[in-house]
Amino acid sequence: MITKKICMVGSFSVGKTSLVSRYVYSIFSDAYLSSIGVKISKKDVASSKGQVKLMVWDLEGRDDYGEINTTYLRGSNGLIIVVDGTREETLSAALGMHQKALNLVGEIPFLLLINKQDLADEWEITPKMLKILNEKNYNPIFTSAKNGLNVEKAFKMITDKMVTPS
Amino acid sequence: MSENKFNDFPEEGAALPPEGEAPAPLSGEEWERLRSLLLGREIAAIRALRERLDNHDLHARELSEVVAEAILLRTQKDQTIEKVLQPTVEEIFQNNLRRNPHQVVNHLFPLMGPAIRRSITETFRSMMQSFSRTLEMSFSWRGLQWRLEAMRTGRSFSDIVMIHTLLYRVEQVFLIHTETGIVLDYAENEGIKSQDADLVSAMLTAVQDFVKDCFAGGGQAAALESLQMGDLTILVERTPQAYIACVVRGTPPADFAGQINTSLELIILECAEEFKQFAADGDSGPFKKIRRHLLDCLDARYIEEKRKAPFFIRYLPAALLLFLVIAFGGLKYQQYKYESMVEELGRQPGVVITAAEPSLLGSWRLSCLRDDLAVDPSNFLVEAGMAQNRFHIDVYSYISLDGDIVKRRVEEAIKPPPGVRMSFSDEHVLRLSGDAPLGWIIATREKALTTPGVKDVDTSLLKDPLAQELNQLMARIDGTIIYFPLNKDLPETESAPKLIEAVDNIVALEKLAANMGMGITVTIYGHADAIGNEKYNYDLSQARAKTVAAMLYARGSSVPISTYGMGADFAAYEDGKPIADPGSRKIILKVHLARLAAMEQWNP
Ligand SMILES: Nc1nc2c(ncn2[C@@H]2O[C@H](COP(=O)(O)OP(=O)(O)O)[C@@H](O)[C@H]2O)c(=O)[nH]1
Ligand SMILES: [Mg+2]
Repeated sequence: MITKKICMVGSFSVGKTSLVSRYVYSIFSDAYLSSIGVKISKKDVASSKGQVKLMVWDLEGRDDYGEINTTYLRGSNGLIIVVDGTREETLSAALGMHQKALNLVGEIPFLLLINKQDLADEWEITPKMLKILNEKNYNPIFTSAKNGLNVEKAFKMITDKMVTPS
Repeated sequence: MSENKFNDFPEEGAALPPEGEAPAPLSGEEWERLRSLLLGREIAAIRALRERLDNHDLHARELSEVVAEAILLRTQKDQTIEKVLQPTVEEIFQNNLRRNPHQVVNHLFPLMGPAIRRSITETFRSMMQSFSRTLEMSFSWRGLQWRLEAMRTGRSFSDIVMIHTLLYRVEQVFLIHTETGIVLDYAENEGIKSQDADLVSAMLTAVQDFVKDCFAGGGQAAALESLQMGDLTILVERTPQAYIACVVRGTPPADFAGQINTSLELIILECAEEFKQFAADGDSGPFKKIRRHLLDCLDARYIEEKRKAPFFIRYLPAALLLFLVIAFGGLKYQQYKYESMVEELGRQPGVVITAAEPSLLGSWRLSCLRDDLAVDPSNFLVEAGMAQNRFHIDVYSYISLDGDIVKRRVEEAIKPPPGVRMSFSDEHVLRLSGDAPLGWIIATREKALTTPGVKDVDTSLLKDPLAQELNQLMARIDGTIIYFPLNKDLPETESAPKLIEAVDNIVALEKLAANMGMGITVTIYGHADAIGNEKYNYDLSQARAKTVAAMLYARGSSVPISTYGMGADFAAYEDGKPIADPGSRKIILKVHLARLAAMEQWNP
């Protein structure tokens, strides 16, 4: 069985835990998040290279300014970077975290999720920002942990990226 | 010797003996030339041969080409080689062992160690099982204690035995990739209820990272070596590539970490390739091959049973205790049993215990009130299992108003025929339903109402099938009116059929009622109009009633008939003056049911 470790990174309250806990299997309670700052779940994903076991590390953001817990990132095979579409500032924080992660673990596959797509009324991410993101090859995906939009797809995409090195 | 001819070959420059008559002796130089002409090639060959014979290296090289085949050929023929070599080999081995024992052990250990350890583990395991079985059936003092503990804590007896006899047991072994925390391989002892190994090992890695972060600033030296919770310990042995985490119940021996380390090092050695590959593709499959090293870590030790004291001494206290428990318990139990029997007797309907005293020796003096319909107290106690000589009972009669007894009493009083259902409510109301003759219904009502304890009787659901017919007939007869001509006491001819019908109905009713144990009586009221004087009208109305009565008798009726002349009391007037009204010249029929002596047949 192929096993990969991925980390969920992003600012506080962007929906990392929600994205994981509704779609992924775990035996640990969310209490671990506040106590040791990480909760690990697992998910079997069918990839282009057969079944892959994802060990999903949901990291509790320490604060809102792009700080991340580097210890838990170690050995990660992929990153899911989560942004809250209703809070513009979480985007720049996310890009900062991505940069830090790159310095630590090198060029590993990543996926940028812009979450809370269901909250159209409060949306703050402009088409202009999206254009810049696309130019920089971030190719973000809109998700919603609330209605499940693209959640499964996101896990499959990051898995495919990890098993087929570009 | 021909083989030696090369050696006999004359040295360079030596003269040959002349052969016969030689033409002229050759000079040394000429001779030399001739020789090289004749033998030039052979000389080179001979030189090469000689060189080969002298050169040891060449020998060895050549021999090496064939030595294996030679040994093989010889071994196939006989055992000489083995015999020749044996002493040498033995000597080498002994020397080696004397000089450097560690090296030899190091080489042998990976082969033998696991095998030995596994066989020890197996032995212990099977020993433990039989030990536990023996205990399970024995009554040793400790066995009893453990049994009590098992009952108290709700755990299985073998669990308790394990807790007390277990020194330690390795329940789970994880081989975990240090960097990612991904489990590479995993083994667990039988009967372990384990959580998801993937998640546990990842979390274990996270916890270690966390501890390292918090307390040691990330230094390798301060890596977590063990975690403890209750009697569970997680022991960790690490290398940069992978670490082994063992979940151990109890206290493992001091050298246990060393054992894990041995396994871990063997794994690292064996799997150098696999680790590289894993970093590339994340496939943990290939690590299955080192499962045996993990299994080696699944060790367990139990406290050995000491069998010092002789059998009967070890079991004497338990046996004594058991005896006392049984004896005392037996007495107590019997007392308790008798007590509950007496209580049970008191609960029987229609029985009231007025006194109950157990004597010291366990027999009882009782006195009680008893309804005639209640159980016989003596029989009851004997049947419940109380010996006849264990009690004396005085019984006094009384009438119980207990629901059950009243029900039995009223049942006996009314003896409901088949087709009648009875129920007796908590409010002591008797309800009867079903089909029954009317006579029985009436009689039963009376009887039931006079039975002690019955408050009311409801017979509304009791139907007499005949009674319905009876009612219909009566309704047809009742109120029949026959009209008379002016000043005549013979009915109008038109009303003859009506009169005949009424008479026939009365005859039928009479028969039906007789069948039901009832009788009927008929009353005929005669009327006249208001014309004429009062006396005359009375007589006329009386005569009319009598005429009809006579007609009834004439048609075979034997019912008692009463006739009344009502005169013009009900006649019509107009403006206060009497009129000649045809509607007032008539008789009216009435029937009544009456109970006859014959109905007594329902209730002799
Ligand atoms: N409407 C909406 N709310 C979301 C979504 N994802 C998360 N939330 C809410 O956002 C809050 C923070 O989510 P959480 O998963 O704890 O964020 P985390 O701090 O990144 O782990 C919670 O109240 C969630 O219910 C989403 O897709 N849509
Ligand atoms: Mg969270």
